[in-house]
Amino acid sequence: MIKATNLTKQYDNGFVAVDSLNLQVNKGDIYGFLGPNGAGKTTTIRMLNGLIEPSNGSVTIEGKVVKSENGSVSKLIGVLPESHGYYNWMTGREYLHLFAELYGVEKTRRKSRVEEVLDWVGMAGKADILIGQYSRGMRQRIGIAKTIVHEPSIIFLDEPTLGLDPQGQKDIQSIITRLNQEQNVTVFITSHLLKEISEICNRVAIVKQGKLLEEGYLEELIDGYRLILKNENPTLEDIFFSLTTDEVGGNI
Amino acid sequence: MLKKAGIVLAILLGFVITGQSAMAMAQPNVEVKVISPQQVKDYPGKETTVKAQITNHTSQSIKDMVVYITMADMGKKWTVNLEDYSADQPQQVKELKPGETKEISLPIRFVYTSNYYLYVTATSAHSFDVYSSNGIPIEIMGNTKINPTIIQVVSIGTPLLILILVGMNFRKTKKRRIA
Amino acid sequence: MSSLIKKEIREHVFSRKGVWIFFAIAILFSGLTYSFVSVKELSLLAQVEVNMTFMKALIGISILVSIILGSTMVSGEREQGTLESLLLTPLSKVEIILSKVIGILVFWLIISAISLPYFYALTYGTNMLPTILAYLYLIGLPLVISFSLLSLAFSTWISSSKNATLLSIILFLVTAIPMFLSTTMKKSGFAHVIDLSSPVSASMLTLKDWLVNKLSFLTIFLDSLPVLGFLVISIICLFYASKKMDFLGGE
Repeated sequence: MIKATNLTKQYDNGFVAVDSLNLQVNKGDIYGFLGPNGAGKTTTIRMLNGLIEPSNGSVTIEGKVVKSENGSVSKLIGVLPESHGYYNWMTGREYLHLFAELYGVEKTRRKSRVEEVLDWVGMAGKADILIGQYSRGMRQRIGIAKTIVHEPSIIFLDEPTLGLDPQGQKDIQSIITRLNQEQNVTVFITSHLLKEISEICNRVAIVKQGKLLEEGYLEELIDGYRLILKNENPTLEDIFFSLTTDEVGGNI
Repeated sequence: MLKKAGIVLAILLGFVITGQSAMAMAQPNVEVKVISPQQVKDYPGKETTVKAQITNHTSQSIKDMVVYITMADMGKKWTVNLEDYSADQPQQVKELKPGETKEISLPIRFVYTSNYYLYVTATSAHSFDVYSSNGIPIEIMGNTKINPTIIQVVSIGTPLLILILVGMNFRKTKKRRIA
Repeated sequence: MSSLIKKEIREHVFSRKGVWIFFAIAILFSGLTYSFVSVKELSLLAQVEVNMTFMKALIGISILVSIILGSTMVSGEREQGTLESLLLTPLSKVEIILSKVIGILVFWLIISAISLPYFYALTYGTNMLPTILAYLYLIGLPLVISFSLLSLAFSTWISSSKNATLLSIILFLVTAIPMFLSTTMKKSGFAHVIDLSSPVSASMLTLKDWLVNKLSFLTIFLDSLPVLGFLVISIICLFYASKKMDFLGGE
């Protein structure tokens, strides 16, 4: 379980990227974290996984306080950052072995675990090719494999389908759903693709300018907004735009 | 008669002038003398300090003098670049009073194999006169035991060995590229 | 941590780039060594001078290669987007930096190993080789590592590899200024201050006092103090820099 209390990030120049954010992600959730560009999504993810120190507030994961260089929390989580880079001179298999070792996967278990995750993401046949020769979709699959190689209970995926073609997006969605259902992995995901989020997430949060605007189970949100939007079947997109669009001009 | 007297006077005057000149050679206005070493016979890298004595034989003070080493390579028949020998820095003498003698130390490090004459020179900022000591012989002998055959083997063998490693690395990477 | 060290060694030492650098260095060494027997002016040098010249070249090349390597290590990871994943592992920032330091160390040890046959050839017939090796690993190693640590610190502070490399090279050139100046110029002004405090100058003085003048252990130790001081300063700088290995928000 992830619990963020009063999470705030204010930079030295006074800019508040995240403002008193409170959220709770329960075990087994696929939690969609939505917001327009500059809403503070990446900053929030980085505070949740301990990469950035919050100016105020705290985060706990499975009851453990998240801080910078906290090895015990690192092992509980897997993170696929938005602009994730790879060692192009390594093969996919070597890359996974490296991270399995870095995360302390037992030597006896390492080889079989790498093969398992390669199977999971459908890359077993391509694992001995240099990453530099992979397509974007293949790289993203290896990225997800790296995220789960140490069997974390929670994974953070920052825009995992960014730049992928529709088939690539579908494949990644399917991997995420299977991970959640078959391995009981809690997923915290950000995406610009609202349709994708509404298809795979059970809970969502919508943020703008660092502030939490709405949060809850997707069905409950839709129910609640029927009356507000005067729409019998509002979509997540309708709710998102109603909350984030400025009166004069809007953006996503 | 007068003409003869004039010739005799001229000859006499000539003797006087020549005599003065001879006296000047025997005892110059400023005398520079290398005290030590008297000679050097050693291998390259030898460091020594040349000690020189400078004496003012005139009745007037000489101000702002500089004293420095000069060296002629008698093997190659050229003067040397004293910076290579760390001897390009002159010593300064602010004032040398009449009759005064000062001792100067000038360090030098002999670098190249050859035969040299080393001498010390002194001059003042207020006069164009330059005074030098006698030269002392310097013989720097070659002592290198470097074997050209070993140098050739190492110079060719080492890069060749690394080139083989580059080739092996290239083959290994190529295998993974087409895996 | 051993896996990260292995990765650093594979990436920088046994990569194609790494082995080509070793080859280029061997060619340079060969050219210089061969010139000691083929160029008349150089062949007149004493054997001790020959070895000093080769040592100066070796240390100069080692520093340059190490700072280029060090200054791209952290900023390079940042630029290619791999640093975030490393920071998210259970490894501490100091451990990550230490792995990179070991990578540079191994790189330099290979350069020093390449230089060994050349030193063997150049010291042939004398008993200089043990002194040369002692100098190489007791003075040369701390000097090269100090520059590497500082360039790693720059690489951590400055996000751009290009700027970190530039800054590292400027630092090296400033400390190496006395090597390019005449004896007279080194006696006064800014050059004099640098000559007194520069670890590069100190290392050269140590080399001369050890190899040529054969001075006492105490003198040699005192000569080398700026090198050791520089090492301590570099370690402190890198330690603080490693703590700053952070990300901004949506960077």
